[in-house]
Amino acid sequence: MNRDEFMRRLAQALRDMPEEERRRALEYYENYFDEAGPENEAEVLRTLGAPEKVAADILRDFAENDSAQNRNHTKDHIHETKERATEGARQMKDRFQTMDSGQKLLVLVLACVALVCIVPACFGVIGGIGGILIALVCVVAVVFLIVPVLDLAAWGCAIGFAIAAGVNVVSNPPVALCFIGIALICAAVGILLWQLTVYLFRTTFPALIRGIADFFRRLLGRS
Amino acid sequence: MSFPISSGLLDAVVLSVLEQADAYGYRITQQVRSKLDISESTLYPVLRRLEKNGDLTVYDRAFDGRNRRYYAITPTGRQQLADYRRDWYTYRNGIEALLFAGGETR
Repeated sequence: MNRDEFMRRLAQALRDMPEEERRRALEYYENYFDEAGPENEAEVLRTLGAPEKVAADILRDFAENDSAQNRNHTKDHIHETKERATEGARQMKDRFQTMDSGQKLLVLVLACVALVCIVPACFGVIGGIGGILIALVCVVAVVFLIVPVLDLAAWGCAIGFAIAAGVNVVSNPPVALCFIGIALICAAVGILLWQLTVYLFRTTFPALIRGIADFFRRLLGRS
Repeated sequence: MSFPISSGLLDAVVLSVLEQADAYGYRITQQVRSKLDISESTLYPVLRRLEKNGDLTVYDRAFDGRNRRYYAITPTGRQQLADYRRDWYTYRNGIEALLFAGGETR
């Protein structure tokens, strides 16, 4: 093995190191051979031993040093965050302590007033939102209930007037004709309402359910 | 040698060599090897670690048509060396008390 082969194998063994670290190590050994001079090259190679072993020493020290530094960084970061969070509270406490007793009393009274005002306001807002939600649910339920009921009523009227027309067809033909007309109008309304019912339950209802499910999924997914 | 040299002791030795004068890697290695049986590959990780800790700095000088990388001790390094020397006295006295008198104080 000569100097070039040593350097080639060392570079190969250090290939996983960060580029800067690798360059520095290779420069060190190039320098080292230069300083030793060609006349000492064989002796240096003999005492250095296998380049893979030299690389292993460098890598081991680098790994230990690097992880120690990372630990310190993480610790510093956590410390900093905690410090910043307590900083605001500490400043407020300091300001409170520098006030005279009149100012302290004022601050306490204001705090109590704020508490008394804000708590009911919170209940009011939450109650209001709840009320609106319940009203919306009721409206939807009514729409879904009232359309089929009206449809049934229309069909009932149509059948009723048809029977009435049948009863009067001999005794009073003009009245019977009038009843048949009314029965046909009711039947027409019934057909229209039936179509609306089908539309509501086939299209709007699943869409509504999907919408509500999506809303809750997003709500839970985000929190 | 019965006693392997610890990495802290190697740091202290390298800092002591550089306290006398700035030196390049080969020179430092020869200096240490004249007194201690260490491999020629021992000192690169030590030098790199000390540099990262701020105990020493490097600078380059042209010499004989090529580059020579010098290492120099920093004020932090001098402080560190003073700490090492103080620790060394404590360590040496403790070991000697045990080794030559079995820990009995005379």
